[in-house]
Amino acid sequence: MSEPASPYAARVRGLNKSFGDGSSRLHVLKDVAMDVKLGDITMLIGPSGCGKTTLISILAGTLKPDSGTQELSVLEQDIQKLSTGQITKFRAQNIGFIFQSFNLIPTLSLAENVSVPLLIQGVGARKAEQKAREVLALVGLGDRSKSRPNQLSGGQQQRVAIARALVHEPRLIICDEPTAALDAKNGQVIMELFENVARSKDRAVLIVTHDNRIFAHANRIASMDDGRIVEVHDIDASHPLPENLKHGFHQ
Amino acid sequence: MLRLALKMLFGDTGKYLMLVAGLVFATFLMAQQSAVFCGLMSWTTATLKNVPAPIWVVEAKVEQVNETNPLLDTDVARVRSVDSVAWAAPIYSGIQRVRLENGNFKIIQLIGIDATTLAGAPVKLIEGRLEDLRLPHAVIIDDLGVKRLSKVKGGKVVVGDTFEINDQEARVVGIADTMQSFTGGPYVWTTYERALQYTPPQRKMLSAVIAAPREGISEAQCVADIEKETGLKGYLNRGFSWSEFTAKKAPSIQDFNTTTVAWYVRNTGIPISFGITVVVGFVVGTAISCQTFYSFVLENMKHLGALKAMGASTGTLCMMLLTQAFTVGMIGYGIGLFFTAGFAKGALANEQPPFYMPEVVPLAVFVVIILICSLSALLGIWRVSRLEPAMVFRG
Repeated sequence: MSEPASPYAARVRGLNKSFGDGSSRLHVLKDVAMDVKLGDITMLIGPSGCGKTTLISILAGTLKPDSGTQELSVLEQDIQKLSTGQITKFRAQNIGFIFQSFNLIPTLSLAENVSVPLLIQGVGARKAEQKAREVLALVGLGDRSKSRPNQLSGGQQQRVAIARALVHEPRLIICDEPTAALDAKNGQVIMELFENVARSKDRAVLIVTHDNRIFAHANRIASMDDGRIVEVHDIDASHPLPENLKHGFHQ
Repeated sequence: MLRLALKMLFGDTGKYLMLVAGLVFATFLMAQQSAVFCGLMSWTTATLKNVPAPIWVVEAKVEQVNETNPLLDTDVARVRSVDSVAWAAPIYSGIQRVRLENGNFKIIQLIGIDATTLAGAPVKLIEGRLEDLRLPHAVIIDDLGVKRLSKVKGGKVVVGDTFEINDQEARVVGIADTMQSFTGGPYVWTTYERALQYTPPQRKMLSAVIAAPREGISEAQCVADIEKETGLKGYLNRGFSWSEFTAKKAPSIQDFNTTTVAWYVRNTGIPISFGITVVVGFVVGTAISCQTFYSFVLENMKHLGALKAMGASTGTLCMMLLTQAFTVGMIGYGIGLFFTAGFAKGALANEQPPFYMPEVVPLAVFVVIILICSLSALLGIWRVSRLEPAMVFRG
C-alpha cells in the first residue's frame, strides 16, 4: 500500500454554515477548524444542537457549506469544487456511513442491505452479495445473511450497518452515534472493529457520539459547543483520556 | 439497484396489492366498458352483416340502417335499370311480434328477401336448407331465436317448430348463425312477399334495395350511378371505417356501417354514458395509484435518503421509482386484461352483453396505464429530487 500524500482524511478551515434567511437566519457552524487524521479514530462530541451533525454532513459532502469557507478538503479532494454528480460519485467511492437509526431497508435481506454500496458503484449483484456475506462474517453475522433486519436485535442491526459501511472499503467512515443502541459489551466489539479499520494508515473513522464508554478508543476527541470546536484532545500513551471526559463531555 | 427497488416494492405487501388493485380496476373498467361500447356499436350494424350485399339503396334522407323510410316497390326496378347494376333485390326489415305456442310474445327483427334469388339470405346456416325458405309459411331463425322463441323456458326451437307472427303461422325450416340485433330480438328471415303478409299493411313497405355492381365496375361507381339515376341514397357495405368516421368532411360515397355508428354516436347518450365510466376508471385508478405510490415513497424516504447519502445519484433513485411504478403498472394491466378476457368469454358465450374489442382498445388502455404510472412515479421523483441526503443524519 502506498503512503497517502496528505496525513489528513479531512481538513477544514474557516467553515461556516447558516440556515434560513433574514431575521430567522441561524448560524450553526462558526469559523470551524478541524483535522481528521488518517489512521485515527476521531470523535466529535458536544451537546445536542451544537452543530456536530451539520459538520459531519458537510464533511460527508451531503451538505454544502456557506461560501467563503477557506478550506474543505476530504481525502485530498477540495469538495467545494466538485459538481453535484462528482460529489455523489466521490461519496459512493470513498465514504462509508453509519447512521444513528441504522437505515437498513426492512424488505431486503442482510446480504442485500450490505451489498448496497457496491451495487451503487455498479458491481454485479452476485459479486456484491458474495462480498457482503464475507463482511457480515467479519461482524459475526455470517450465518444470518438471509435474515431480515427486523429479525435482529438493535445491536445486531448496528453491526449490519457497520458491515454496510465497510463493504466497499471506503477511506473515511462517518458514524453518527454508532453505539447508542448497544450495551457495553456490543459497544466494545464495534469499537474494536473500528480500531481494525483505522489501523490501516490510509483510512480514518470519524464518530459523532455522546457515549463516554467509547471515548477510550479515540485517537483524537474534538469537543464542539455553539457551532465551534472548543477543545481538541489527542490521546495516546503519553496523553491519556482527560478525567473530565471519562464521565462525559464538557458543555 | 433496480432489483432491490423491486424487492422494496414487493416487500411492502399492503401497498403493493393496493397499487395493483387500483390499476387492475382501472384497466378492467376502461377495457371492458370500451369493448362493450364497441360491441354495442357493432350491434347497430348487425342487419348489414346479416343481410350481406355490397350496396344498400335507401330513401334519400336515411342515415342509418335501423331507421329506414319505406320505398315504393317499383324502386327495385328503377335500381335494376341502372346500367352498372348487376342485380338488385328488395329487402323488408322491421320489428314484429311473435306469439309463441304458450301464448308469450317476443320481439323479432323480421327480414324479407327476394324469393327467386334469395339475395340477402343468412350466410351461415347451422341447420336446414336455404331453398326451403320458398315453402309455405317457411322462416329461418337465428341462434338467438332458438332460445328466445322456445315454447318452454330453457327449451330450444328445432326445425319444424311453429309460432305465429301477427296471427299467421310461421314454420322454422332453418337455423342461421348471425350477429345479434341492436334491438335484442332474434332475426327471422322469410320471403319478401310473405314478410309483407306478416306485417300490417302500409302504403309503402319496401325498406331497402340491395344490389351489386356489374363486373369491372367499382362499387363506389355503381352507387354514384344509382344515386344519379334514381335520386335514392346508395351506401357501400364494406364495414366500419375509422378514417371515414373521423374525417372532417364526409366522402361523397359513404359506408352504411360507418354512417350508422356515427348516427348513434351523435344522436344517443350511449358514448357519453360509456365515456363517463371509462373516465371514472381512469380517475379512480389514477387517484388510488398516485396516492398509494406517493405514500410508499414517503414511507421509504429515509431509505432513499440513505441511498442518496451513500452515493446513489438522483437519476438512479428516479430509475428505481420508475421501475417500481411501471412494474405494478404492467402487473395491474395484465391482471386487468385477464379479467376483461374472462368477462369477454362469458359475454361471447351468452352473446350478451355486446363485446367487441378492436386492437386499439388494449393499446389505448396500455397507454393510459403508462400515463397513470408516470404520474405516480413523477410525484415520487419530485420528492426524491428535493431530497437532501443530509436529512439521514437528522434522524
